[in-house]
Amino acid sequence: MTSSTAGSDVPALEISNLNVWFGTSHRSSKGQESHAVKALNLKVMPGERVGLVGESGCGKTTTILSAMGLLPSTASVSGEVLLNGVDIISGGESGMASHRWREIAMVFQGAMSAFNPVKTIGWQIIEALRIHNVVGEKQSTSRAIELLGLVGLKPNVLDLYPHQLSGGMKQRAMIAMAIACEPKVLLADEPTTALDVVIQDQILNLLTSLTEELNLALVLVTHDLGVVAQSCDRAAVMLGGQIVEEGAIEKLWKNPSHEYTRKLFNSTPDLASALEKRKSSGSEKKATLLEVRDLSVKYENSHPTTDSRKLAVDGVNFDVRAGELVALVGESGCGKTTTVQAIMGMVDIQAGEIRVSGEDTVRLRPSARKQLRRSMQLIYQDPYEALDVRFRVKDTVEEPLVIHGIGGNRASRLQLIIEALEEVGLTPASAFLNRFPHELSGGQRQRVAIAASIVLRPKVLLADEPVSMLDVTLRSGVLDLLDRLRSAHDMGILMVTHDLSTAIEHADRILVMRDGKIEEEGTSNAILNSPRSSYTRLLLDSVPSPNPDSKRGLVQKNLVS
Amino acid sequence: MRRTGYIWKRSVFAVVTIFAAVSFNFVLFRVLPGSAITRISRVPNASPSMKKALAEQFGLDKSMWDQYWLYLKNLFTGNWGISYSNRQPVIENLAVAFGNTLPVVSIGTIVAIILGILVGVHSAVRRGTFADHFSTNLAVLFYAFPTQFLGMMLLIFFAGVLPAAGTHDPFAFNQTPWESFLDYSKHMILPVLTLVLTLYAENALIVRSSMLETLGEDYILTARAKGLSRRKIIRDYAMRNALLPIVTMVALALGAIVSGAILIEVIFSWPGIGRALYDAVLQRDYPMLQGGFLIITVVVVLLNYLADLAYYKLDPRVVD
Repeated sequence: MTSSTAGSDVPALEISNLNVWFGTSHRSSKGQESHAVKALNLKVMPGERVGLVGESGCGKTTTILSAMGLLPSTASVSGEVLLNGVDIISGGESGMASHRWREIAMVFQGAMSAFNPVKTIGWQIIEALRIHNVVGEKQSTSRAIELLGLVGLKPNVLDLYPHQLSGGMKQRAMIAMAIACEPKVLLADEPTTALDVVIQDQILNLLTSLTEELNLALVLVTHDLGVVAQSCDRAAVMLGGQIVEEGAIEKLWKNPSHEYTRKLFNSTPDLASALEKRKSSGSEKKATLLEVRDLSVKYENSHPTTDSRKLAVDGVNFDVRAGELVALVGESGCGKTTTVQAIMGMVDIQAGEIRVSGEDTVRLRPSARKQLRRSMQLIYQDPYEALDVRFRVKDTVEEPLVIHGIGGNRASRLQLIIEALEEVGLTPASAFLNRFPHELSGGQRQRVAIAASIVLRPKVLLADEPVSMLDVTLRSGVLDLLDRLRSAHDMGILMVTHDLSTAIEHADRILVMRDGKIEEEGTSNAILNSPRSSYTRLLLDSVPSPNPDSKRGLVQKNLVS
Repeated sequence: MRRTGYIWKRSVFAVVTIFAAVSFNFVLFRVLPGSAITRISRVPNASPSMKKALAEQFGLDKSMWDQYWLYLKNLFTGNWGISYSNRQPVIENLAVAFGNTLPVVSIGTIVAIILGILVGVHSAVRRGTFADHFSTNLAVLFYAFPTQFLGMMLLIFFAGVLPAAGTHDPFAFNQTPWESFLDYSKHMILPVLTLVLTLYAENALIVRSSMLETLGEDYILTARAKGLSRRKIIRDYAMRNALLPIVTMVALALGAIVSGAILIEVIFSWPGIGRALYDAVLQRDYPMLQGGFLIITVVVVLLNYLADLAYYKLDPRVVD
């Protein structure tokens, strides 16, 4: 093996003129092919970190899967993938096998499911070591422990099964396995997307330091420009299967030449500019719509081993006033979704009071609860699951009207449906009325879901992560819609989100939740500029800024110099 | 800690189920209208003293709880009553019948599972090819056949070539044990074949879809990226995970195997449990029925228990 010396000008990974077509399955008679990756070129030098950024469906994952020869058999590939100057994909599957993991390794998106669930972590790391014969049988265990140490895991992880690890630990173990055979190139496909922001920060730091220690070339595939800005030297922006712009991250940030790059940067949440982007909101105090007092909810399926005194929601207090957007922010498992479900009456509460327009909702009879539902509506996280696939748009929006007996006859209901659709920006409404969900984009689906909620003219809107499943360029549209709804109709909106920057940009007040308790409450300005709780500060520090010069970037440069 | 708790829970559950079945067997016949004494003393105008004597003889004068206790004691000491039809102890009749059913059902089930896994894995790995279409359609065909129809067809096709009824050639004399064994095995071929064909198809279809689902999982991609050989990926990653639901499916199917065995044993005049039950129903041989159902219940519960333990061994995620 020739090892590349430092400062050599041979790229660790060079992709040149890569084309990928996906054939429609042979059963379909159309035989048309989709051109997923178009004449793509990318060079990564040893020790360099390159971000491959783009929205879903832009071909970024396809690109790196083809670099490892992992595409399904329906794909046809042309072009070259050179590792240290050697083409590895020309030899087909058999020619590829010897390069995999020894020279080019990968960390996958689904940290949750990337490990074989029935084998221990140790077994799987040792398998990688043994299959490529990098260490002898006897040293394999000690080498595996050493690898776990490199990524900050204890030796006992060796004997654990994947389901016994948290998401962040699993991703660390995955990285340990990826560097087991000391590859030259590491491909990371959305390595932090499923992780909470604090853990994401740790994993990105780990990847950054490993590339420096091991002179590893890293390709980081992500939809999040903030992640790239905070951890990469260079970035390539992909759109429709092509790289539309490539360059040093500072250059892209300060001086993007392509319109799409500018758009991506603008829609990426950024704490620094979040306050400037805010639309001015009325400061007058209006009537309180939703009051939550000392709300406590037990864990639903509490396991005998979990502490039975521990509550999913533990003594939570807050108000939402008319025309106000309140954000409930916290990491996964902090109880924010349970809080929303309790307000909707979907889970039984342990203690406390919930009042809507002054009326106690906890001890309502079913008939009264139906009336309550009309004044309080929920928007779900996943627009792909929230709509019934067999319902046309007009049926989805009409259903709540029928349930609550509003609108009298068909024609007047249709009028209400059209108004609701136009309100959420689906214009002209007539073009959407008869469509099925699969004929809509993700952003349009979420708008339909919102239309179905606001058609009842609710006073309170509960939005559970309304944009987390949407591409960044679509997010601001949906969030602006929520903004407009509350000011136009004086709705009170409670928005659950894990994303502090979104909250700061759009909410009037922010509640930071942790372990079932409200850790801190304040206006967006106060939370951003003078957080009282150390946990809020940690959250703020962990949000990756698309500005490469901000915060951590500066800290790192100071450390280097 | 929690894992040993799981074994405990399953064991207790199995014991309780068997106990409930046993008790149900006791209650079932006592809630029927009429009393055993009036039925036994069928002579007209039986004197009260005669009735009393009969009640004493059968222990029916005792309280319900005492009778229940007696019933349990008899059950565990092997006193299961006397068959109405051949006047032999039920437990002896059933022991013979069980001895004949066991090899047919166990060989049939095991072969069907192995064949089903092989065919299913093969089709899944070669998804969309001619081999896959062929074996999948064939499996659907066999899955659709009713057992008795398939048995009849095999009987018609192979009558004359293979023995079609009983366990031994009725005209063979002075067989050595080896000859007897060969004769027995030959008689077993058709019943086992019928069982295998009806069971393999279902297994193959389930294994195929389970494998296809597993092959789409992320860890298969990880395994390929790691540079593992195709064989290793299919064995350690795909099959190992795809077979987990199969264990449950097989356990659930065991009840159906028993009913399948009844049909098969009747068609091929195989003197096993199924056949014994069939005859007992025809002759209203209640003690035999009671005993036969008990054996089937216990076997099904035990096999399900074994499946639970196997699942526990195979899947580290099983805790609750």
